[in-house]
Amino acid sequence: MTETILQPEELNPAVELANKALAQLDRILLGRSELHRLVLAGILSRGHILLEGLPGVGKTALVKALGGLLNLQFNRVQFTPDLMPSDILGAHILQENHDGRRAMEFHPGPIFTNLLLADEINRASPKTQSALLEAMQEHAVTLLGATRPLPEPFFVLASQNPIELEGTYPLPEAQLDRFLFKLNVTGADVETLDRIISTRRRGEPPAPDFVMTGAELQQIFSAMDRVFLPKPVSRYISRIVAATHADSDEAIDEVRDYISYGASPRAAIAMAEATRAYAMLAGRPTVGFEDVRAVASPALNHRLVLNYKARFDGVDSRAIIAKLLGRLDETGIKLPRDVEIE
Amino acid sequence: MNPQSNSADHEQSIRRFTRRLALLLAFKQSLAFITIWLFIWGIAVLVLRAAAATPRKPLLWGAIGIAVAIAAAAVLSRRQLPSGASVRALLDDRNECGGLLMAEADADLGGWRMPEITAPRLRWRKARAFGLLAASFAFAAISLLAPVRFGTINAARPMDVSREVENLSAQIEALKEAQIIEEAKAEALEQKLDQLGQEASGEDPAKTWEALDHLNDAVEKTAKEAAETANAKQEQLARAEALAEGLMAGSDQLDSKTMTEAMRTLGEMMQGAMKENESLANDLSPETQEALKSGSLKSEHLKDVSKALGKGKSSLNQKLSKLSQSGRINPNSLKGGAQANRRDNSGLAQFLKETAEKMSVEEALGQWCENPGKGGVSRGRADAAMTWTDGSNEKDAKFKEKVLPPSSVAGLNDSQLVGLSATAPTVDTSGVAAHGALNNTAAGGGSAHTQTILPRHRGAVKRYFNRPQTK
Repeated sequence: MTETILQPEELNPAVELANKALAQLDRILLGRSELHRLVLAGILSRGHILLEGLPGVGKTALVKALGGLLNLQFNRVQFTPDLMPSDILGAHILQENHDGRRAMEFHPGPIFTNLLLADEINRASPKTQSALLEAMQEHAVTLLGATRPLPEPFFVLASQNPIELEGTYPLPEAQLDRFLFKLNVTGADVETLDRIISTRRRGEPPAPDFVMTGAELQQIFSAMDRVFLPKPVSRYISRIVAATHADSDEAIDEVRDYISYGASPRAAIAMAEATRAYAMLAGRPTVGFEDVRAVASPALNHRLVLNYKARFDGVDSRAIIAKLLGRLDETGIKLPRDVEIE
Repeated sequence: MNPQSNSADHEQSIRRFTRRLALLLAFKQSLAFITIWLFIWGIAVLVLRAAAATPRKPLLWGAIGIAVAIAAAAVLSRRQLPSGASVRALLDDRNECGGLLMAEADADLGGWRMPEITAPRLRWRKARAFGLLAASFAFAAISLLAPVRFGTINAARPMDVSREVENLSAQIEALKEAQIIEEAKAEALEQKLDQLGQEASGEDPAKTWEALDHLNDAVEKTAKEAAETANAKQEQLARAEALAEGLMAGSDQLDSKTMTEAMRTLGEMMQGAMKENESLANDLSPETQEALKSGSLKSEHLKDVSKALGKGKSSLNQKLSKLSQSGRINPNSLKGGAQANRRDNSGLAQFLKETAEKMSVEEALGQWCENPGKGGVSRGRADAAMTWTDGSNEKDAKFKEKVLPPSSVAGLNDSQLVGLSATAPTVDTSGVAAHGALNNTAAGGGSAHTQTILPRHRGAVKRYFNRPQTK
């Protein structure tokens, strides 16, 4: 029996809610429409997002705005070099109970929340950074042999300064791979800056006039889960991820020259999820190739391990992904070189 | 528009585009295969026409290959054709359907509508393909239409030896005209030469050149033999002429016996010469011929005989000159004849008289002719061999005594042996008298002992010789 795809009457309310949230983000933070769309797509995909940018470009403001927009429990941890894992995960404290007996009582850390803002995550030591690994992947924390689940939904929105800055510790590949997207937050253009300083006193963003409840968020999640991923598109995603490996048949010269390790299968899963969210934000019940092209770079750029030659030649992973997308035909149709489809 | 009809339209669009793509690929592939086949066919045609001189008609069967090429292209292009899902994905992407067209294949779209599907255009950069096809067609056409002589590689390649044959033929003709070689032999040689000229082939030039060399040797050998025969005849005539001239010049010096023997010898020589040279008889008067036959040759016939012999010699000379001019014989071989022509026979009678008792006239004549001149002031030319008589007698011969000057190396008498060398001694006369006590003295030869005075002794030596004389 043929499956019926998500019908308009089922999809449209969810799309409306999502677009309302998106409009709120665009209203709170000016000039970052595409970034907001990707952040929201990441959230709807139940993924963690890493925001990278220089200080003062609005990374924290974006995450705070998102926390305020979604009616979810929100905690913020300012990562510093002396921050310990227990400062994030929680600790057992010896306490006297009502009957006068003393026992070790678990005091949960700030990670026990729906939305965790890990501000300047790369300022913490690798030991503390690693404390997030289990939480991010399994949505649970294990301490002294006891595993405690985190509240659902659970998102980590981390911001980091570029690793070239002093006092930063690069995130290990294992942790980077757990982030669905790594988004680059750049400075605003003249028009945006002019609007910010002319409409906002001390740059303070307006409070959101719409707050999404947990039920509404769940409605969006359930709609998104039913977004249809056609076989040619899933095939395209698989081909892209495979082509980031130098030994792939479809790997381009740049991949062979500059990439030491390509993207993991987790990248393909992340892309598939992200494309669903992106298609839903566009009001479509099916994923198209354009959705894959839109999420490919944010989903893959932090998962490619470049070699020294790439650094020497000044090539970054985004440029390689752009070239890969340009050369890889979506449909996989191989025509003779002198035949083109216009 | 209901979804079902919409779906049917989409299927139709996909099929239409696939058909267009298949046709394009098949056409393109056909052009490529036909181009390749035309080149192969052209090469095959060239090879067959050149190697086996195959006529054009059977070669035209190669055109069937074009149909085979088209069929093969159709099969191959069918394999290259993308799947229906790929075409659907392509149309979805180009029409910005956002995955709906792709989903339509696997799921029910329900209330979703799509924009009208338009197939994209197919663009083929065909200039190169058509250019190559035109080139291959032209190549095949040229291979078929080009005259076969331009491509023949196995036809007999005649070898041009006409110049050599002509040269040799002229020489044979010249030898035949000069009656140096017999007509039958000349004809045989010419026949061989003609055959050689016709059969000369570039496939085996060595064979042709060998045959030519062989023929050339045969002609040369014939000419050489003819020259030797002519030379021998000339010598024979020259001897007879010498005898006739000698007898004419000095018949009065001979006694009757010698004269009779000489006349008989001349008669025999003339008989022999006439046998070998028939024209000689024509130059003789009937009386002389009669005298020769009867063996009664007289002094009055000698002039006639000499004249006839001179004519015969001249005829043979001409023959030899021709041979020499044709380059068939060595000019040096004519020297004997020339020598015979220059012979001075005025002293033959005297020579016959002197040798009458020692040898016969024939032997004497042989010696006369072999060694021109027999010595003496009036008996031969400058190149004649000396005739030695007895040696002078030294008895009673007196010599004037003369005292020789004393030897300039008298010092050798007082010399002392100081050593023996393995080689001849060398004397440095320049260094001996340069200084010291023996300065300005005459240098001795041989093994004279010399001593060099050391500089530190010079003063003592000088003082010794400058000392005041004691009384």
